[in-house]
Amino acid sequence: MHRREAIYSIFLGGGATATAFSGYTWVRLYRSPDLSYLDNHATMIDDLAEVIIPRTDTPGAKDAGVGAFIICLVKDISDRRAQNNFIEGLKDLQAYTHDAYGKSFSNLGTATQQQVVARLQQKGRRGSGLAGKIKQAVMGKTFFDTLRDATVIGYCTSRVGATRGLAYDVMPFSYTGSMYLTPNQKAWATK
Amino acid sequence: MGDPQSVTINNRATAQHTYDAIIIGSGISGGWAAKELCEKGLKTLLLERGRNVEHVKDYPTASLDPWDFAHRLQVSEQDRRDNPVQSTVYDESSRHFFVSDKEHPYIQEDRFHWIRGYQVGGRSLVWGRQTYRLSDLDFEANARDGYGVDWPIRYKDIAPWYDYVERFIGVSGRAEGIAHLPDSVFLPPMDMNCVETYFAGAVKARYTDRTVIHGRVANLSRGWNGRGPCHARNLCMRGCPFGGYFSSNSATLPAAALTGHLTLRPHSIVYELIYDEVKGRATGVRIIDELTRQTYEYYAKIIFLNASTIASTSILLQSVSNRFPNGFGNDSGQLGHYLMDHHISAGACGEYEGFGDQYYKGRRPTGIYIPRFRNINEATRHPGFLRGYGYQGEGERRNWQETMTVADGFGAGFKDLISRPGPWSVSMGAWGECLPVYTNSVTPDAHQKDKWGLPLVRIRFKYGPNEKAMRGDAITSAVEMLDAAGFKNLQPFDYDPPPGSAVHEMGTARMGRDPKTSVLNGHNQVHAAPNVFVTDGSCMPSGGCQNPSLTYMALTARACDFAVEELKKNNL
Repeated sequence: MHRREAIYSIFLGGGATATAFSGYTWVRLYRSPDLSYLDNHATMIDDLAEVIIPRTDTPGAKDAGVGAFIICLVKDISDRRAQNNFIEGLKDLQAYTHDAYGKSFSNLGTATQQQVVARLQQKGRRGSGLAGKIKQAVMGKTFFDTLRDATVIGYCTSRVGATRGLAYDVMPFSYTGSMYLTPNQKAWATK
Repeated sequence: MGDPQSVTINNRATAQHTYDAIIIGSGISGGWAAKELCEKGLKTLLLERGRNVEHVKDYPTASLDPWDFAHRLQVSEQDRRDNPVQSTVYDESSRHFFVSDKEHPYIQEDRFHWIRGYQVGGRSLVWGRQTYRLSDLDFEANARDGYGVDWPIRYKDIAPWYDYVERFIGVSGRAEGIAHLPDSVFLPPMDMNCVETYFAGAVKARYTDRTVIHGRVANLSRGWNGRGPCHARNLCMRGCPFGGYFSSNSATLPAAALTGHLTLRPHSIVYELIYDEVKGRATGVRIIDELTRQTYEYYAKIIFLNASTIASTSILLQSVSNRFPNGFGNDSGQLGHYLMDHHISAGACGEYEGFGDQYYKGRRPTGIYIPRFRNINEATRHPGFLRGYGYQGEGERRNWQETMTVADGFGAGFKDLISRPGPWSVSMGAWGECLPVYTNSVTPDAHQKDKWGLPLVRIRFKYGPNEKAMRGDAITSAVEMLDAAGFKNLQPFDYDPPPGSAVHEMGTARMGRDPKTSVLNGHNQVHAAPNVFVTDGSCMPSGGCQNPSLTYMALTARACDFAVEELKKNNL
């Protein structure tokens, strides 16, 4: 099967994924991931999440306990490929900061951490349009996209994030269709 | 509501298994049959194949906050694997109201999502609650273009029963005087927000044939019949502790229980109707106890079949006798055919630059509606397709769920972006009519059985060129309307979900005037066994494009009234 046909068949929900890649790529995406790696690198995940959503005048990712949710999400919500991409991403990141800075990610200063995450974003953001969709459909969600999405979901659905980072209205009683925004008003946490 | 533990089971004493009426299924139509027949004084046995769900007590997630859920309401990989069909509509907060695909398999000859809730209350716990009347545009549709058989009733036959049902359930909405989407008996509508009001005005200014109206919804904008009001939490699918929306559990079943005439038996899988050749009628039903797998028989003068479209027809097809070798009441050979759904998720969305200083408060469990505007009359005839569609939509300000997918970045600036209300947008998707087609069908499989030994249902369903052409027009028209109203960044969409995804299965035991071409008559009686009434979605000769539950409820109340009158006249 030609590569293009193989990719197309994935789009159609075909089961021919195995032939779409070199053997190595297939194994890398579909092998059984070592999920304990996540628990063993919880601090690094916490620190990454804090770079995505830092503490400002409102609580940040660490305050909201987002790291634990990221681990939960990767274990239970992500598919096999996204899991492997995520763990692979953590390993690459570790190797990179050691090579470039001689330190672990957690031991870098805030500004350097931001540079490192910017580099991750550049490499790993899905990209818009059809090309991005195809890439995600074939290769699975990237390390950066999983990290950022999980951080946002984890933060916005946490008690701290929903009630202090956003506005949470547990019992609205009724719907008011139009009202003026108040100064500095946050977005509603839930729809 | 009756406690299932109190139901006495005595296999030897026929008297204790004999009732005036048996109802199969406790969902949105079965609940109405229970209320009506009990209130008319009939000793009624309500059989439900699933577990009991008591109002409020059995809504375990109703008051939980997002952070109370382990997966924060995300659907897990295991859910997607184990429940590939049901998990497309449930989340962590509502999965307990949907069946397990593993435990309740069926055969998709073509891709078809059969969404089911096997419990007391059925899918009335999780329905979309949109509530629209059909009109003669719908009741005359088959006669007009020749697809399907003519409805044996017209709007005037059902209108008083729409009134009757709406007065009980409570429908929020506004009277518009649109002939082909008749007004209901309304409670006050739920507000439109500023962008919706603007859009409605812009459409009115530019189109003579189109109107943007409030979504009509069985959520209570004020207290009604001892229930509600809706607290604008928009967590309806978890069950509402305030009874803020209509369900069997919150409304019809308590009313039925109050009469003292209701016996509810959960865990009761009806596998066939009992036909008496001498009497020429059904005398009862046979069930399997879901838990013990013991079989029992129950008897009654009349039987209401309300198990939901595909399940009711399956029971009829499984009920084979000398008189009915091809399924109960299937002299016409039409039973199982003309399955319909609504086709959905074709439309467009766009952003509006403006109203930056405005917002809303509360979570409204409905949106806006654009009634059908194609093929209403000669002037609105569309050359590409028959019948039509309505749009359901809503306006809102973007929040973190969408911002996350469209915005790049991270850090303090990104955090600020997801913390603020984003731009206003309006999104609208069509709900379109599917033509009744013979080959779209359900049949019991000859070989494959479920864990109770009952045949698996085989579903065949394909959209035809009419549905496809209609979807194309729905996308084009949505883009045009948003463009005309000044929306930017217009995005057409066509998600094309598998048929069944609207969860509006209809047809397969259609009503009609002629016993040779239909299964039921104009009072929902099986032509060949008049003491059996089928009043769920299976009775529909055509589907309209409106959400159908209200029509099932009205047909049920009407049929109950007729059945009791016939009993009094000793005709049944």
